[in-house]
Formats: sequence, structure tokens, C-alpha cells
Amino acid sequence: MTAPSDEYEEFVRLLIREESAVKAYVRRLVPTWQDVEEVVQQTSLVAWKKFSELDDVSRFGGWLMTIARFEALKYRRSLARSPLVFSEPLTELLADLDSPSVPVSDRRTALEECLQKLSAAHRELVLRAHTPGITIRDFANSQGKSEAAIYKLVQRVRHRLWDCVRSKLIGEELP
Amino acid sequence: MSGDQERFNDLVSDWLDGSISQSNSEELQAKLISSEKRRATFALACQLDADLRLMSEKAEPSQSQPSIAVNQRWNNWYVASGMAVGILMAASLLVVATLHRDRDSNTRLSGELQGVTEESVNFSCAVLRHSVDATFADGIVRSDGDALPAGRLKLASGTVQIEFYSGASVLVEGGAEIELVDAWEARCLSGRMSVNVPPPAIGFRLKLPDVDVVDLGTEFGVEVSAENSVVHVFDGEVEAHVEGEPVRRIEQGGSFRRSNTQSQVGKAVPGRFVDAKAFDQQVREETQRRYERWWESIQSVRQDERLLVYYLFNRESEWPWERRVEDYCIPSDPSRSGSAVGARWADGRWPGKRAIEFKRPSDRVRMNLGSEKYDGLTMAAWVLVDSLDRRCNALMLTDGYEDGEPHWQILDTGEMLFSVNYGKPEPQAKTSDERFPHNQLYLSPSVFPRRGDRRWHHVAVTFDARTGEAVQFFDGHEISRQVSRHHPGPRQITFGACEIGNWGLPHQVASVPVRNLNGRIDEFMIYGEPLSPQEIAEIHALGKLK
Repeated sequence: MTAPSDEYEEFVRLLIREESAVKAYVRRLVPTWQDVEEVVQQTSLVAWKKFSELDDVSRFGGWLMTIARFEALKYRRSLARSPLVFSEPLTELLADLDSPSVPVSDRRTALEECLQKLSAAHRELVLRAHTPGITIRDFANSQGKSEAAIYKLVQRVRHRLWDCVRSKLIGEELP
Repeated sequence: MSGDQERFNDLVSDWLDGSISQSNSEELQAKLISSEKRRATFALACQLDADLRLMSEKAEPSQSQPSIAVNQRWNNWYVASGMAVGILMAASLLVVATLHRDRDSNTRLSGELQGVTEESVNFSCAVLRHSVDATFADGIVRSDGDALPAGRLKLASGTVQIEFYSGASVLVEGGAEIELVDAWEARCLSGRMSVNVPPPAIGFRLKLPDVDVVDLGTEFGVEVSAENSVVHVFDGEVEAHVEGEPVRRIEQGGSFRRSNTQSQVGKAVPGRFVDAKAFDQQVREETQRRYERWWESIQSVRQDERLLVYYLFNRESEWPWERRVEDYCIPSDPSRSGSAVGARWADGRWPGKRAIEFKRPSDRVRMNLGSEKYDGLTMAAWVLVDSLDRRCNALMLTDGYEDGEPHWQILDTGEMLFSVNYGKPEPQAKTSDERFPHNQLYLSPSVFPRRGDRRWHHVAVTFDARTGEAVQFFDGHEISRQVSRHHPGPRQITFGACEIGNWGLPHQVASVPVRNLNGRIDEFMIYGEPLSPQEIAEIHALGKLK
């Protein structure tokens, strides 16, 4: 790297702070977690190249999101048509949807509390099912259960989790 | 939790897990398009998915500790993430940067093309120019103008004219089998065909089982049977190549026969082949017959009392200032004739049938269907899309988008979008779904390629304003059937001033998005009632006439 190392350190520090927020945002715009990783990686690359143009580092979060939005839409357009790839108008609607005003930390706290409400087995299940690189099939095989059975269970637990987080954050039960 | 919500959650889960089917994906997308609240719910589910993945990523993957307290795990992750992620991110940045540099230097030559949208690739080598009573042995229905890829083509009956991209043109007679090799070469596997080679295509090669015929600018016919391969030269000359023998030049009026390893030169017998003139006459007659059959078959359609507008876009007047688009309903209400603005007359579905072509943002057909209200509608059109240039490409839109007004468009994704507007938000509404019920969107699966396929397609939509159900059709087949969750109960629809192929009023003050169609329309029907799928299929069949 030819850049001054303190600038680079500053950049990496900011990037780490925003990483999960960017990933959480990009998740709704591309089909798989792997796609999320690719888009976020490309986003950080573009951000690093343009970092010197950013005058005010307190705007880093919003600035990074704008880059992520652009990169995600660009990436989506490069994907072959598949049931996992949403139409462009819908993707744009999702991209423009204001991220809920809830701070990331509140969401994490809510998620953590809701995970605690689950039984230990269900907690383990839901975390394992979300481990990157692990498919439901792998997991079912490791448990000696049928894929369909595990799948249904994961869905049920996950939906309980969503509802719980939603009601904590928005203070309302789902309709 | 309602069944509807449960269903939505299932669809979101399937999508997140990468296991969603095409039809479920369409259902999910329709739900998301139609509701902002659903989109917010979806966004939260995606955020939680990301949170869970990030948590699991950082968690101890070992199965020997199956019950680590989540709290501890979460906190561990939180604390550890600074270091771990920092190192990871810094490393990946370096890797990516290095990769990028390498790629830049390695592919400088093709670099200009990178980042540019991929160019489309064409695998065809010829085009079906005309066909008369043609059926193909593989059962595939091919239309005039269809591109033909390399490969074998057996004509069961009729006659077709194939134009190779080199310029050579081959008339293939019923029973013959041809193999298209590329723009410069074909094989006659059996039967009779005649070839015309204009100057740019000199060198075109037609291979017979034992003879290669290289054209030197001419017209010739070939006949292949189990016993013989024969070449008849009607004009100019050809070279006949037979392995192990000297090349023979066969001149006008001559023929060359190869059978049982014997070569024989003789006289040409032109009467055995369909010549270009006769074929041209056949094409003319077929076109005329077709037009007459179609004209006869639409007479009962014209008299349908439910029909509000029937535009055929057959140019009525040679006067340049006469831009009227005649309504073909019987009886016709003169106030319902349209007016072409900018749009030009062009060829329609077949020779003799006219169409109207929309190209520029100014092109449109204006009409006014008055303030009458209807319990539903049907819109049906034959449309040829050159390209989906705009995010929304207009078929028919009312000026503005007032209470009860329908809009019908093709999105740049190739999806058909039908929508109706129903008034203002209810002031006493509690949920956001109830607060924004006015725009009812009905989205079909994607049916048009983004770059357009330049083929005529029949599109139709029926809408029942009493039930809120819209059904969409493509080439006579139902492609979507939906009831808007916002449907406010029995309503009516109305048209007023509207236009085909574009959106926006000349005197409108507010800026209007550009939505002009890039393509042609050669028939447009509006009914004041929803027709049945059976009726749509019949209308489609009438217009196909094959």
C-alpha cells in the first residue's frame, strides 16, 4: 500500500464499525450470503479508493451505504435470471427503503434477548443453520435427520425469532 | 398470526435459504411490490439473517460445546470482533487490491470492454424469409422472419425460402432436408432445393452426399435421393467437386449427375423445381388468403357489444395531415377514434397488415373514452417490442392516474404490470396497508427479454373491479391471476382521456416520467368487461391464423 498508514488504519477502523450494518443492508438486495460478501468486499475496495474524497469522516456510514447500494444494484444486474434474483424495480424499492430507524445495537440486543427465550437446542439449531457455508442439508446429515424435517423446524424457530424481535423493536404484534 | 402472514414468512425463509421456487418467488415479489409494510418486514428479516450469520460466523464452530450460552457467545463476538474482523478485512482488502491490479495489467487489451454490458451473441446463420403452407418434421412452428441456427431442418410439406447471412437464398421444397452449417455453407441431405447466389455471396457452398457445389454467381437446383445427387444450373455457372476427380465447371443449361460412383454431365431440367417467380406468386396468394380469412373471422368480434374500442391501425388515408386511428367496432362511436401523434405507420404481423410504430418520447396515440364507468375491463393487443428502454414501457395509460383509472405497461424486466388507482387513503385507517390502498399493482412473471425479441406477441389483461381480480395473458396463455390485497370492495373503472404507447399530457404542468414504447402495435382492443380465459385464447387464435 502506498497510502499513508494512518489513513489506512482510520479507514479500516471505520469499515469495521460499519461492516455489519452494510451486510445487513445488502442482504436484502442480493440472493445469497456469498453474494453479500462479494458486494461488501467490492464496496470496501471502492470506498478505499475514494476515501481521500470524503471530507467528513462522521459521514462515513451514510457514504459507505451509498456505495454499497450502487455496488449491490450493479452486482444484481450481472446475475443470471433465477427465482432468487428479484426484479429490478423491486430491488430498487428495497434499496430505497429507509433502514428502520432502530439503531443496530438495539436490534442486536433485541435479537439476543429473543435468542435467550428459545430453548438451548433451538438456539443451537438456529445459529448452526445460519453458519456461513453450512447448508440445511449438511446440518440435517450431521444430525441424522431428514432435510425436510430440519428445514421445517428451522423455519418455525426463525419465525418465532422474527416475531419476537419485531414486537420488541416496534412494540406491536404482527397482524 | 394470520395464515397470510405465515405464508409470507415461509416465502421469505425460502428465499433466504436459497430454496425458493419460481412460482413462490413470483408470489413473494408480488407481495413485496404491493406493500411497503411487507418490504419493511422483509428488510428486518434480512437484517436479522445477516446478524445471525455474523454471530454464527464468529462463534466457536466446534460441536463438542453444543450449549454455549448465547449471551456469552454474543459478547465474545462483540469484544473479539475488533481484532479478528480488523485483521480479516485488512487482509481481504490487500488480496482484492492485488488481484485487481493483476487483472488490470493482464487484460489491458480487452479492458475497454470490461464493465461494459456484455454484448449479446448470435448463434444463427440464416433467416426464414417466407413460407407457404410449411410444416416442419420436428413439429416446431416457425414464422417468417425467424432466425435459424446451424443444424438440420426437415420440411414435411410446403415451401420455404431461407436467406443465409452471406446473402445466398435457398428455396426448399416439401420433403427435403437441409443442414445449415454456417452463413457460407449448407448441405442438402435429401429432396429438392434451388439456390440463388447474388454477387456478395459468390463462393457459397452447397454440399450433396457425393458432390460439393461451389457457386460462381448463379442460380441452380439440386436433387438428392438415395441413388442420385443431381445439380441443374439455370443461370451462371458452378463448380462441382467430387473427391478424386478433377473439378468440373457446369455452365448455364447444364447438369451434373453423380450416382454409384459414376459422374455424368447432361442438360438442366428447370421445370422440376419451384422457381423464384412461382414461389413469389405463392407467397402473394398465401398472404392474400390469410388476410381474407382473418378479415372474415374478425367480423363477429367487431360486433361484440362489450367492445369499447377496436383499433387495427390500418392506414385510412393518404392525406399527410389525416392522423385518425379508426375504431372498427360495429356500430362505431366516432368519438372513440384515436389520433396518432408522432408515431408512424409500419408493417404489421404479416404483409398487407399495417401497424403503428412508437420510437421517440413524443410518439403516442391519443384517445378519449369518456367518463362512463364499467365493472371491469379487458385490454388485448398485438405488440412487437424492439427494446425495453424505459423502466416502464407504456401499452395504455390514462392521463394522470385518477380514481378508478387503469394503467398497463411492460417493465424493463419483461414483466407485465397492470395497475388501478382507487382514490385517497382512508383517514381512519390504522395500519399502513390500509393507509395506502390506492395503488393496486398486478405484476406478471417476466415474459419479454429486455432487449426485445422483435416478434409479434399477443398480450392481454382482464380485470374485475367488483372482486379486484386481474388475470394476465401472454400469447393466449394465462400467466398470472391475482387479487390485490388492497382491493377496497366492489368498485368500477373508468378511462377518460388516455393514450396508447406513451404517458403524459401535453398541457400537464408536472413533469412526467418518460414511458414511451419502443416497438409496434397492430391491434388494440378494450372491452368494458373481463373476458374469460377461453375468450382471450380465441382472440389470440384469430390473430395468429396459422
